[in-house]
Order: sequence, then C-alpha cells, then structure tokens
Amino acid sequence: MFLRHIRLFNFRNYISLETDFGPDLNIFVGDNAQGKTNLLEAIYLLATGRSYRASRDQEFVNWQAPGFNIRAEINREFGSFTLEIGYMRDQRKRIRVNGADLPKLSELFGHLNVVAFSPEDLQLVKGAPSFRRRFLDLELSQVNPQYRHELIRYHQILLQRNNLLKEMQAGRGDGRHLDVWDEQLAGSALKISLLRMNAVEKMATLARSMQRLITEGKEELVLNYNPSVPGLKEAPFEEEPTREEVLRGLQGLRRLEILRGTTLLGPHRDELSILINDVDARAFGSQGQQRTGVLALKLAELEFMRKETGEYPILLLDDVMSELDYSRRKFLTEAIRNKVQVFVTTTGLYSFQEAQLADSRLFKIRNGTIS
Amino acid sequence: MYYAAPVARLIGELTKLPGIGPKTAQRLAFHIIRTSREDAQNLSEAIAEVKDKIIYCSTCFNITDQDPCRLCSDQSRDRSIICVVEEPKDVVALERTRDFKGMYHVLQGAISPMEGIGPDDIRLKELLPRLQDGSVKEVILATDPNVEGEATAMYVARLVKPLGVKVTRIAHGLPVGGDLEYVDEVTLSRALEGRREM
Repeated sequence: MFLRHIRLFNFRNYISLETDFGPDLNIFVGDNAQGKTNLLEAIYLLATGRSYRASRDQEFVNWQAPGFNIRAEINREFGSFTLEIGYMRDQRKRIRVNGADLPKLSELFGHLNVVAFSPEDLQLVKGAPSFRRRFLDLELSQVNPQYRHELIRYHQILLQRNNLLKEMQAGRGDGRHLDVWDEQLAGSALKISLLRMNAVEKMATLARSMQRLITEGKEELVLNYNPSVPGLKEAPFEEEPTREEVLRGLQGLRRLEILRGTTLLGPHRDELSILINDVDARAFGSQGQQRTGVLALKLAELEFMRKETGEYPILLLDDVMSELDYSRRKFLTEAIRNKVQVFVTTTGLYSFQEAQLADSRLFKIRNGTIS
Repeated sequence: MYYAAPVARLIGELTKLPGIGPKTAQRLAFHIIRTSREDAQNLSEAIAEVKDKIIYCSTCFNITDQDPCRLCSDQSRDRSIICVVEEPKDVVALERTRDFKGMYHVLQGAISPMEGIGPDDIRLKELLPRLQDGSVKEVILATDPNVEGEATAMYVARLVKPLGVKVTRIAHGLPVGGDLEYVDEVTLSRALEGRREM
C-alpha cells in the first residue's frame, strides 16, 4: 500500500498543503509544535475516520476556517484511487472514494490500512485491558468487514441490554424481555470473541518470533486471549454448544448483573494477556521488556495485516525513534526496510543511519509548511 | 426575538417536527408567509383533519379513518396469516409488493430499553387474542433487520410459538436487479447463511 500524494486544507495548522510521498521512508523533521504529528494524524484519519489522539472533529479544523478537507491518492495492488475526508463545522464528516460519497463512516475502514506507533502505545503492554481490546478492534476492523459490522452491532446490543439492566437495578425495568437481549448478546459476543481469538492465535506466533529476534532469543513472548465466556477457549470452533454456554453464563450472572446494572460477560470484558518469560508483562515486565513487547506487537500487527489482506499497511511512527535504543531501532528499520511505506516524525536526524537516509524522503516541517 | 410574535410561533412549532432544524423551520415559515392564503389554509386544514379523523384500527392497529380498517374488513384477504410489522409505513411497503394477501399487525414500535420501550409499550398483547381461535396458521415477523427489530421479532416468536402457530421471519439478503459484485460483504454473507436448496 502506497500513499502517493496528499492535499490538506485547513487541517489543524495546515492552511493549504500539497505534497508527494516516497514509497519507502518519509521523514518529517522539525522543532516541536510545528505540525509534524498533525500530518501523521491526517493520514490516520483517512484510514480510520478518527484520531489516535482522542479528539472531537472540531479540533481538527484550523481555527480560522469553517471546515477541513484531506485528500489522498493511494496505490494498491488492485489499482489506485483517491480518498477524501471533508468536514464542515456542526456537520458530519463526509468520505469520498474516487469522488463518490460513502454512506457510512464505518465503511471507510479497509481502504487505507495503517499501523500507528507512538510513545503512548506503551500502554498496550502496561495499560488497562481496554487498550489491548481497542488494539484488536482497530486491527480487525481494518482487515475484516464482518468484524466491524458485528462490533457495531454488539455495541448496540450491549447499550440496550445495559439500559434494561439499569432499569431493573432501579426496580423499574420489565425483565420479561431480558432473555431476548441475552440471545442477541450471546450470538454477537461469540462471533467477536471467536474472531479475536483466531487473530490472537496468528498474532502470537508472529509476535513471539519478533521478540526472540529483537532480544537474540533471550525473551519469550506469549499472547493469551482470555474470553470471559466460560468454555469458549476449550471449544472455539463448535459454535452451537458454546452459544448455550454463553446463555448459561449469563443466567448464572443474572442477579449480579441486575445488582450492578451492567453486562458482565462478553468481548467487552475479555482480556488479552501478554507474558514475557512466563510472567505477566503488564505487572512484572521491566521497562525494557515492555518496550520490546510493544515493538514486537506492532511488527506482528504489520505482518498479520499483510497476511490477511495481501498487502502491507502503512506504518506511522510518531516520535518513537527517540524512545527506542540503538539495537531496537536497528531491528525496526531492518524489519520494514523496502517493504513498508513509513512516515516518521522526529526532531533530529541523529537516530537515522546514513544508509536509511539515502533511500528516504525528507520533509522539513515549519509552522504548517513543508520545505 | 427578532421576529414578530406570529412568525416566531410558527418557526417554533415547525422546529418541533422531526428532521427540521431552526434554519429549515425559518425557510418553511417564510415560504408559508409568501404562499397564497388558500394554500396555507389547505395545509392547516389537512393537519387538523388528520388529527380529527385518523384513528388506530382496533384489530391491526394500523392508522385508518374507519374501524376496522380497509385491510381488516376486506373479505378477500387471507385470514390465516398475519404479518407483524413495526410501523404503518411498513404496511404500505408490503402492500406495494402486491404479493402479500394476508392480514397485518402493526406494533407501533420496537422493543428498545434505551428509549424506555418494553413489550407493554408496543401493541403486542393485542396480537395474542387474534391467535386464540386457531384460524391463524402462520405469523410472519417483518420487523426491521436491526438490533431492536431482531430482539422484538425474537420476543414475539417466543410468545407465539407456544400457541402452536407457525412463526417465520422474513429473509435478509440481496437486492433484486443488482450485481453480486456490488453487494457489501455483510449483506452477502447474510444471504449465504439464508441460502435455499433449489
């Protein structure tokens, strides 16, 4: 996948910008607060419809303008196309593919695939379980349209069911239709947990070999997906019996669920645990192990997405070069060299090697302009 | 307020309509001001007439100006089959097919805890008496294929099945007249799930 050209209008501090990119390494260099990360954010927005820095749409708009527009030309194996996101104040974002409107924002996924890596991603190993669930959701949403459809459906069901449980907690709700919501939840929960489990299985092999390579065999990384549905892990491929198990699980939790007014079973409670050398990396991993773990996960994600879609996604590296030491940096650049289109932000070029700089394109960013 | 009181009132009333924001309301209000007295009168009379004359059919709960409604009193229709829908507009959609000759039951909504709508808030308990005398052989569930519609269909099915009536759900799948390649993946996989032997 190759993002050939981009044009920004009134996006954050870019009033108007148009530029071509190279197929390998693209380096955005400049001082702080000049707009390096904004460029990565624009690319990320084209891929996912949102920002990795939690934001409202309004915040993307240059303060002097009524709206923003981002347009990119993308080459993929099946051909090239243009992708465009436009937003006007107080309206919904609009997405166009080759000039034609997409009816739903969720249909944007899969056009331009990205893996983003920023210092905050350390949370992937040491943060709360929700970070790891979001990681899986974003990754699978990009490669599997069934997954993103089911995920939207699941959240709707969950919202409805939680509302009913809250009503019942307050003694008002009518519990007769809780069974129906159980059925709906069970089917959807099972599909999502199964898809996540299969993905983690593939990811685990990739991440383990990455961790071994980075640490020269000293660290063994294990990914475990722990579904909250009882019995799912043991018999993942027989859908019918486990669907009954989800329902039984919900039955067993019923009193507690009403007491708490929320759904206690399903993919929103599942956990992806990361072990390094047999201990939980979240609680007991050293800083170094956690960093290596994140790097291994991100590289595994790249390979996983290539296996699923046949093409490497685009890699966005936001200020991570300075976070990694020499050997990890070297490993990262070797792993992606001449395979993946990369966008990197950095304040200085000291962390790059001569050979790398030779096949890269350099963009000097100053106050919303490129030179 | 910038507008004279009658104009402001009209804009205020129009804003209450679904899908109408302040700007559209303003545009509509100015249109009404410019229009002839006769047209404006017709509009207000049409609104009043709808409120005066439209009632719900006591059998199927569709909107009607006579009770029982034209569909329920039509003797040529098949009384052994009832199609359950959410809204009156769904009846219109099904009637347009000219394929369905059975009876209807309009729930006037779907179960949605988020909006505080439970089984008692839709016209569900009124369906059961219609199934008591054994003349109805099949109930078709044609609620919307979204989360609320599916839950409602499932709930109705659970109530109706013990009465010994056959319960069916309308199929999800491919639009007619299109090319397979343009169908989105989700619809296509639903269609695969619901395939039939030929």
